[in-house]
Formats: sequence, structure tokens, C-alpha cells
Amino acid sequence: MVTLSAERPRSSLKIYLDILETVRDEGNTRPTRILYHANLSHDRLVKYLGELNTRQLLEERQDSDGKYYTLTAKGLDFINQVKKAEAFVMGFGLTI
Amino acid sequence: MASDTVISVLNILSGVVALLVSYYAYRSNRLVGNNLLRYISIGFLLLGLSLFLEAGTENLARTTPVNAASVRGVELGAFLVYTTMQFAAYLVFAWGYVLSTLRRPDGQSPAGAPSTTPATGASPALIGALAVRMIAVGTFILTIYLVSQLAIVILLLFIVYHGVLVFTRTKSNLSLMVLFGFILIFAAHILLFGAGTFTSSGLLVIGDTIQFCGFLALLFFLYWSGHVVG
Repeated sequence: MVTLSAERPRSSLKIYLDILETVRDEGNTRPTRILYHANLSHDRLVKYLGELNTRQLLEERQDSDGKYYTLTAKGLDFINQVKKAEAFVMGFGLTI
Repeated sequence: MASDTVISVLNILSGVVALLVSYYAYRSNRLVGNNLLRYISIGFLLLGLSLFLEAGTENLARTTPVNAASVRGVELGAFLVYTTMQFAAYLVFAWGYVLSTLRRPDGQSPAGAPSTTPATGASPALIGALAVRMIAVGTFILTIYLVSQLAIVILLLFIVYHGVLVFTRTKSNLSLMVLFGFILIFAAHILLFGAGTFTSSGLLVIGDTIQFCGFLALLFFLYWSGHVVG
């Protein structure tokens, strides 16, 4: 007998959204803060931050204490688009 | 005649909403990448185009004389096309829901218009033959209409059932709006089936009005999901 888990693993899109929302809410955000809020391992955090930086949704900056991330205008627009898509698919019983 | 105008306007407005839902399903699918969204987008596209064609055909029927046989031929062709498109649209929705249920983890062309001959300058025998032919065509249209409406009602019953399952699982207002929209469209097609069975133009107007209310519920859904700015 096959038992299906009620909880699906988070999709890449959902992880992107969690990271971007964390940076949007916190402002200039250190990687450890993102790691804590987005509930990711260090390796996966580095991978996703690299992807978001490459897509110019986040901007990586450096100060005397180390790296921090800020949300770009493109990143904010992406959050809004994904939130709308999330609401739309919810109407048909889907999740992002 | 006034009721024909009302039906045409309601069908055009319903078609606009259907195309809007199709567009937003397409856009959401580009982000989310789910097969059900692809089927919803294709289904509402077919539905929107068929409603425009239906409204156009009704306008043609209203504005041309009854004996314009060539125009009646075009109407018959259009009727077959939009009836098939509506049936295909609901079939696509149902198929999408079946696939999404089976794969939970990730998410006929109509016959051409018959050749027609102009009725102008016809002899009494020709007029008689034409009248018999028009009665035969009328019976054919009614049969196709009733069979397609019955098939659409059965498909919509399945879609509504799936909508109830989605709502009981998610308990979200957004899925309730989609369910409400499909319930109204389902009720409308039962009335449209009745309109064909009893050849009642009153039931036709009520059916098309309820169908429009169903699309209005879907428009509210788009508004609440943040897609249509009020």
C-alpha cells in the first residue's frame, strides 16, 4: 500500500519567494538571517542566493561585517507576480 | 428580438471573462509550470472564442432574412463549430482535473456547412423542397444541440464535483469563488438543455443570464486574486 505524504517539499519557486520576502521585510539582510527565516541548509542557501543574484532579483553587497543582500526593483516585481500567481492557482486547488 | 440582443451581449461579456481567465492561467503557468493550468488556459480560450462565435451567429440570424439560404448555411457551420468548441473546452477542463488528480505530486472538427442554393426566383416546387430541407436541418441542429448540452452537463457535473473536493480541502475563498462560478455555469447548461428540449426562448435567456453570472463569479475571483484592478 502506498502512503502519500500530505506535505509536499517546497518548490524552487516557493523557496525563491521565501528568500525574497525575507529580504524585502528585513531590508539589508545578512545570509544567516535569510538562512534562519527561509529555513534552508547553508549549501542550498548559497545555491539559491547565487541564482537570485544572477537573475538580478537580489543584489549582493559587502561592508566591513561581511556580505548582505538587498532587494532589487526586479525582485519586488517578481514577488508581486508570484503572489498573484499563487492566489490564482489556489482557486483551482494548486500551490506554487 | 430584444432577448436575442440580450443573449448576444451576455455571451460577449462572458467570452471576455473567459479570455481573461485563459490569459492569467497562461501567465501563472509560465511561473508555476503546472499541467492543470495549461488545460485551464486552453479550456477557457476555447470557451471564450466559442462564446464570441455564438454571439456573432446570433447577430447574423437576427439581421438577415429567413430565406437567405446561404446565410443559414454559414450559421449552421458556425453553430457546429461553437458547439464543438464548448464541448471540447469542458472536456479539456475535466481531463486536466483527472490528470492533476492522478499526478498529484507535480502538479472533431465539425462538418462543413452544407452547400446551399439561393432562394431567390425559386419555383413553388423548389420552395417546397427548400422548406423540407430547412425542417430537416432544424431537426439536425436541435439534435446536435441537445446531445452537446447533455454531454456538457455531464462534464460540468464532474468539474463541480472536483471543485467541491478542492474547496473542502483548501477551505479558501478563492476556490469557493471558482466553485461558485462553475456551479452557476452547470445550472445554466441544465436550463439550456431544457430550452432545447421544450424549445423555450425564455429558458434560453435565463440560462444565458445564469451562465453570465457564473463568469461574473470568475471575474470576482480574478479581482480577489489581484489580477484585475478595480
